[in-house]
Amino acid sequence: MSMENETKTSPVTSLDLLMELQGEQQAFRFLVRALSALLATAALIAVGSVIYFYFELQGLRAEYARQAQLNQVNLRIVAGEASRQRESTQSQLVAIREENESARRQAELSRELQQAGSAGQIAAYKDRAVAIARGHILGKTMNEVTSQVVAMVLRADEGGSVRLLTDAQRVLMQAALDDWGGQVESSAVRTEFQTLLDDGASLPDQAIGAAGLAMLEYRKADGNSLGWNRGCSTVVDYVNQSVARGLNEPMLLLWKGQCLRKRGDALLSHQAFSQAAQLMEQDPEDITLEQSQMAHHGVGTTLIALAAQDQLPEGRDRNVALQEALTELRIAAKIRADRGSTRIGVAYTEENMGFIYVLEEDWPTALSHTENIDHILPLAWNLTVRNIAARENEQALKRAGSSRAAVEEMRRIQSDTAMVLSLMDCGQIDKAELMRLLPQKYSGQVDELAAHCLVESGGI
Amino acid sequence: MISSISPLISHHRDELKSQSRLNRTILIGAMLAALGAFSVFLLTLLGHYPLPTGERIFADNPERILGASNFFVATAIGAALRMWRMRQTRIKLLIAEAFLREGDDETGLRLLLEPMFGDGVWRGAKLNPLAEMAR
Repeated sequence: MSMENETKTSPVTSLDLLMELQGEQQAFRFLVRALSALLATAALIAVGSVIYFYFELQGLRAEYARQAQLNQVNLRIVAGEASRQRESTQSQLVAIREENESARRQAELSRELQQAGSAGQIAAYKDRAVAIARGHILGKTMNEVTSQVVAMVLRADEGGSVRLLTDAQRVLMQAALDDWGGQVESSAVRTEFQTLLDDGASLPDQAIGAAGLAMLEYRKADGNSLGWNRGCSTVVDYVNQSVARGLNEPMLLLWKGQCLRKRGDALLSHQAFSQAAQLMEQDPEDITLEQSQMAHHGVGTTLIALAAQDQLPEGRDRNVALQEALTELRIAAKIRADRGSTRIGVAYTEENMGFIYVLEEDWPTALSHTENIDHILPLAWNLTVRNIAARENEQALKRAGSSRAAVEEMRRIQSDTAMVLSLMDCGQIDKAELMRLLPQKYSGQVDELAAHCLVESGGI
Repeated sequence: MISSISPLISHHRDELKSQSRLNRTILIGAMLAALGAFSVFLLTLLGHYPLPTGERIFADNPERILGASNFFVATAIGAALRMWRMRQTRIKLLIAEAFLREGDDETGLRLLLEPMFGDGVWRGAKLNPLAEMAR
């Protein structure tokens, strides 16, 4: 119905159709313009998308490459950790072998002991037993044979009608035997040594008591990587008490030297190590390879620290001191290898030579030396030295106008070493001691490399 | 009877026109929205997310805004295509209407029906314009 009305009210004329057609023409023009604008918008967005995703993919590619590199570095660190474990096992094997070797050398003593039946015969071994017990505390650990001597003399003393030993000797031997056996609690051994120190009748008895306590404290501190605040300060106290009572033994000085080195007292530490080395030269008979290695390593490392901190005694030439340090470290590395250590153990000592090359500003040698160590395993100090050497060498190459490839190589070494260090455990970096082995001007660089370690390890 | 169809066509044409107007609005709106979204994308890429909301969703993922602008472009293209198609229909109807008005019902009817059903629309019919034309 409404349609009919509409039909009546709006008859279609030619003019209407013409106007409609004109309207269509206008709409067509609009459509063409709109489509052009649409095309332009679509093209703009397409170009924008292509550029955006191109850069995004570039970023992804770079990220992938970085992740792959991180993976490789992590694998190296894990492999290094496995090497450390192997070296640790090897050290234990070396210790067992040394103990067996010393027992084998005393085979004659073992036979004599088997034949010694009466208390009188055993009494003849008293002085030797006391010496063995003292030696155990002072770095010459007991073995199966020598422990028998001590045990037999102790039994003879307890069972016989006549007392063979003084009270102090008995306590000393019992403490040494308990410590060797490892079956008695360490607190009991500590109490025995404390008794010797407090109640010993003579100064030598008190001195050996203090030495025993120093031994226990050093062992505990060594388990915590010789952190100064975790017990190493007490080692120095006990050693000083022992020395004050007239006991001047290389092992005590070595413990003291190691602990003072951790505290950062390079001069006193160097004196302790040098004194120990001197005593060893005077009486080399009872010196173990381990003690000898510790002394040479200590003298070399403390000389480096003294040179780095400009604390060398007056009149001492810096270059001569550095050469001496190099020689000492080489000797220490050789002893370590002779003891049966793997090349990883040797690398622990040789690693410190890198600091000498930094102090001498011999960058090419520093780079080749650190590269050799790095091929064995990634070590924090070695990587730090390598990073410093690469940075300094880069500057030197730029000054000399060397090729771009050589400069790029130095940059690559810097970024690689920084990446490995950033993934390393802070305990391995030991920033406090590392700072002491390098000149002051590199402290900023060390901070940068160990930025992930918020708390400094060790030292005061 | 044919003459009574003409106003119907006229009415249908008007309806198409109003639909076309809607499409035109969608087209312009979608184009503006696409350009707006692209501008937001560029600003986000430069580190200045400009909108008061949606920062959590879009600020770190500019490609999502790029997706939105692509959606608007696609909507605009759809609207433009619909407009084009309706325009074609309207012109056909206009011409058919003109023929009907001039009394040429046959041509008018062909113009109306053949675009929809094809040439086979006259098959079996009593009045077959194609057959007459062939004769």
